[in-house]
Amino acid sequence: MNILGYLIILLGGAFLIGAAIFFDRRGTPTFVNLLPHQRGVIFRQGKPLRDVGSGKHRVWSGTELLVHGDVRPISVTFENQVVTLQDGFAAAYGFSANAQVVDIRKAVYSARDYTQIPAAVLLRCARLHLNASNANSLKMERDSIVKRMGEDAKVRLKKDGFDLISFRLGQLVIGTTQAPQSQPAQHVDE
Amino acid sequence: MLWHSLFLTPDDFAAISSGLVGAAVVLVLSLTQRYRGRKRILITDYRCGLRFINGEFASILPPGSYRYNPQSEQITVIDMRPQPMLLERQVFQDVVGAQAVISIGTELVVNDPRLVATALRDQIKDSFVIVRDTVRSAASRQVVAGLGDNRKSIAVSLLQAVNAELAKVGMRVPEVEITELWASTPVVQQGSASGVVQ
Repeated sequence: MNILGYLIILLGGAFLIGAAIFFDRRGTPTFVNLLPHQRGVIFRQGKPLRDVGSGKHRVWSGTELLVHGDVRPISVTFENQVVTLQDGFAAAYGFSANAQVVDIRKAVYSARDYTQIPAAVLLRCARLHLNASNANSLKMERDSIVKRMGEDAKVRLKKDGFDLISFRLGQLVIGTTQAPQSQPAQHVDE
Repeated sequence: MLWHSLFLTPDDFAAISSGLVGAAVVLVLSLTQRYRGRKRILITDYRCGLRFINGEFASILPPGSYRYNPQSEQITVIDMRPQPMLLERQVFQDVVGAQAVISIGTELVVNDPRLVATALRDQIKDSFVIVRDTVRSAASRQVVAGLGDNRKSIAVSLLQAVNAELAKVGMRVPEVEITELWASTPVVQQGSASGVVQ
């Protein structure tokens, strides 16, 4: 055997050792396809590496993980929620909203199930702002209260990687089951 | 000749090459044998792994990639991300006897993954019951009626009470936001206070 043959054997052996160590440490390459409405984050060794959009992505299974999510708008609708106002009246309300993931990494970290975030935030904001109001202010300044509600929700959602696309308080009925001033139930809007 | 300049004879070179290839084959075979029957798990930085060996707690695994033998080792993964929680319209009687209603918004977070894994069957459902019961009992020790807007002090009291209970099972809430609070004016009748909210 000439020197070239020995060199080939030497390099082949070195290559085999290198390949064995490389695949042992890195894992095996796989490919993940994300659809146009999906975004993801690639984690390597448990740490976020980079955000990825739709398309084909190589992931080294064993050391890398592609966590992906749906960025299509999430619809939130609640009806017949009841809140007590500051003057003792009760209000029944309902709202509908749409929110969309704009930062998938923030969304992934925001909760165990990020799709619950818009509903939780909107329910909190609606109840908080309505409870801080009274029957008269709701009748006189309904639009500004709803606007504040939406702005508050927008800020909170942005912190979790969402954008509030729309918010509408479609149902608001003010009444009371106690009649603190002997007033009948009032219908503001529905 | 090259082997003369390297002080290697063709026989030396052949021996080294053969040895290297042999080592490569042995390495590949030993790696295959070593990882036969073993599983690999990847723990992201928002999760936490608990390694149990033969049923005994061994260690907490930080983010990374791990191999383990499922025949002798178990790895339980705990999700450390917050879980939003709303507790709405809890009706109670405050310390002066006024009927009151409270709603809170908060998040459940794992504080001690090892304790959570061993103390709770369902982290969220079990913690929810603890929070609800604690809020009811802690709120009834507060004065809600007639003190103006005392949400902050009540929220602090609730936070402390809830976290004291949740600490027993390895959970906590980072903050409590009172989203609804109202109490009727207490009506004193024959030495006792009572009121109606709805």
